[in-house]
Amino acid sequence: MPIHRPPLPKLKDHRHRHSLSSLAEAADPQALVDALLLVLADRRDAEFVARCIVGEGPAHHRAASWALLVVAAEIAERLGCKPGPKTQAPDTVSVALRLPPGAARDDDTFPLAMPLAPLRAIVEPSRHVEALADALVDGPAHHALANAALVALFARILEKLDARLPNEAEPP
Amino acid sequence: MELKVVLPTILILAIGWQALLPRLRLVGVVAAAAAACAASSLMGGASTRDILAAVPWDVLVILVALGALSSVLAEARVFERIAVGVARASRGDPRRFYIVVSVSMFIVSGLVNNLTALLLVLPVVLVILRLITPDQRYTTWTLGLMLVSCNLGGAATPIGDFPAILLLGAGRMDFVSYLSQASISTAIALGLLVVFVRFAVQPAGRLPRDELTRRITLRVAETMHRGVRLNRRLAIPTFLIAAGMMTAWVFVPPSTGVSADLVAWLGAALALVIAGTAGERVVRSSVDTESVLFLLALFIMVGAVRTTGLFELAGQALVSLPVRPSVRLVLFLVTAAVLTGVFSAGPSMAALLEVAGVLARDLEPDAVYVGLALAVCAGSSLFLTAATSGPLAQAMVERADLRDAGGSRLHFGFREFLPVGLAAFATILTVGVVQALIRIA
Amino acid sequence: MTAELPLGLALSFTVATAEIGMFSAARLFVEEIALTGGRSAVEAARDVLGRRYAVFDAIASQWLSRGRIPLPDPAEVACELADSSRVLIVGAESDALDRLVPMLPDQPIALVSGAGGPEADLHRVAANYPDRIEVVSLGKWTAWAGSKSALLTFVYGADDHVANVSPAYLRLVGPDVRASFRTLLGWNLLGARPRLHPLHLAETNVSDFSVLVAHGDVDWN
Repeated sequence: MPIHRPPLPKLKDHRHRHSLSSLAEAADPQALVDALLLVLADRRDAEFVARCIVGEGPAHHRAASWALLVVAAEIAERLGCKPGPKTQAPDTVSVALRLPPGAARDDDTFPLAMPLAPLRAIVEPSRHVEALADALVDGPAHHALANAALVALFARILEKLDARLPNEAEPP
Repeated sequence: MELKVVLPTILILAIGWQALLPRLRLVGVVAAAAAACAASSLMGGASTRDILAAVPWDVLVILVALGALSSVLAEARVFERIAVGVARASRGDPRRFYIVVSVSMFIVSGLVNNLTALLLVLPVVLVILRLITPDQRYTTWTLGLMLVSCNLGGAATPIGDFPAILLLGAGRMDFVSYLSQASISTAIALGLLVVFVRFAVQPAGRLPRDELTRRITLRVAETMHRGVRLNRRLAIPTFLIAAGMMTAWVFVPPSTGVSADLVAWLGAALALVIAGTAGERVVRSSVDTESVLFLLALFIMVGAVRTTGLFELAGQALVSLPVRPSVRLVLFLVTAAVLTGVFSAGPSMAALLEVAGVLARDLEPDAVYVGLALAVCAGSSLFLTAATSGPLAQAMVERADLRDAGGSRLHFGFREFLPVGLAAFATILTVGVVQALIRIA
Repeated sequence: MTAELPLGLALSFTVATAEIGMFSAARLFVEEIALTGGRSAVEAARDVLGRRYAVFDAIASQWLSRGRIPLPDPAEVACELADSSRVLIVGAESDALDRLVPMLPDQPIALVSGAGGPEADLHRVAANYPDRIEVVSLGKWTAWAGSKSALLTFVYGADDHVANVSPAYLRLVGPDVRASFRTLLGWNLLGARPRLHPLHLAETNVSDFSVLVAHGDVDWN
């Protein structure tokens, strides 16, 4: 017997056109791991961060974060960025594991730290940079990690652009 | 109202309270001890300072020291090794298991604090029982016999349990005299009981003879402890120290100033220092504060009553009974056993030792004191509630959720223990009375 | 011929599973049943115990088809955990732990207690690994979390989507816990999912693990 399904209401916006499972299907974790390997040296660290970004939180966050990060990685790669970054720059802020305050340890932060260079490029005083950084690494782990990873990819993109622009600049 | 009425009333009320409300026994006796001190001080009796000065601190020191030594042995995994030994010696056979358990617990309880031993060996015994899937009869007699064996072991040596420690600490008997008499009597009592249970009760009679269950029981018990190793760094020095303490108790006369409590204190302190961090852990968390406070409160109340001369009067009344000395002794021992059954060993021994002192003036002291220790042991074994280990074992058995092969829940409470208690009471008391009568004959 | 089995066998097995783990207990029972009663006894035990304990059914089936039950091989698990700073374990499988613990000489290891389900005195279990394994209560998991920490549990059969785990594991693994351990390792002791539904186990998504290490496979014939 065919199953009767009531027709979906016609919506003016794009929501509900696609099921959550198709979102999950589109967000291939492996692609995200590859993207993160542009900013993380260790594959297992990249897998851990990827799992936290596309394995936790609301479905639309997972898919949106995945899309933004993979696009950013695509841009970075097209600009010539290669996987396996060197040790992370000193000018970074760490993303803390979401643990209650307790005994301080050396591994209570995620392996991904957020570089501050992209923020310094857009705001001037240091306290504004710190305020923006605070906002970016705040919130649930999946949220903070997606932000940090995106900023880290932007950092690599900016580095590449900075290195290329003087050579490619055409005479006025 | 006179102090001669007020102080014994407080003592009797406290003893009744702890028997009827075991969950509140500590607050009851501690409050009653404070009331006894207040009454004595305010009504013209002994001051609190005098009552506290008369507390047998030496007994408490021995109790704490031996408890600490037992805890160091527990840290060294001695009791787990004993549990494995019990499983192996029984070969997983229910017909051997209850006998091996009772004999092992008798020996262990004679050497270390029987509560510590029970706390660490009983969980393994319960796992083995659950693997055997016994019936109610087997459960009752195995666990009952185990508890009675703990009581007998405690009475077998001067360091096994509180009543014997009290005799040693108070200087009523020396180490060797007590050991030579009590160990034989208690061993005879255990032997008689085991023979009675084996041939008259036959607790395993209805359990099927089953090779598979026997093999599985043994193998699971061994697997559970496959990697448990005796911590020799802790165990060897502690055993050597314990042996040294016993040698000192046997050979060093009290006239040298090296008393039994000093030997215990020095020995325990040395063992704790050698144990290092484990020793510190024992001192901080394993000292049996409950027992110490309970006995201290009882000593204070008994001490306050003693100042009124009431125990002397009771003793004199017993001595002046128009019967032969042997009948007087039997009467005293039977009364002591029944009182212990009702009020438990601590209060009975603390109060009756005062009366025993009067009896011992006319009769052979060793006969009176060893007889009293056995009578108290018989009373401790009468009801499940008469010794501290009883309610503890009951709680552990309930938690273990024992079931028979059909899945019905098995119990071990006051009612189930009673037949074991009556058999043990009659056997131990008879042995105690007979040995006392032989001694004074 | 139908072999006679003790009436209390199922209860004994329940006790053993709490003490040494479901896989290890099943292996021990099958070996002893085979020794005392042979193949027919194992078949009878599979019928009696297997309905309630799918893991026993799987192990008995394995013995019946292959005549042996291979012990868990810890090599791959040890390799996955080699650079972990600490390892938190849910479940106590003696056969597996006995082989894994010596291969992780440098990592602190703990067993989680109080997560529910049949659980022996874990201090007694840990005493088999002197100075190597400690016991932590469920609420203390944060002390074991970290960017190099690993959370390990035993899996009793898995397919491409679903894995059978102890319900205790699900008590612990919430979204916050998942994001606080770099490695979420499932050690599959059975291989394929049991042919009977495991009444005493819970199902979880295979994708919830960061690594699922397989151990052999069971032949159901």
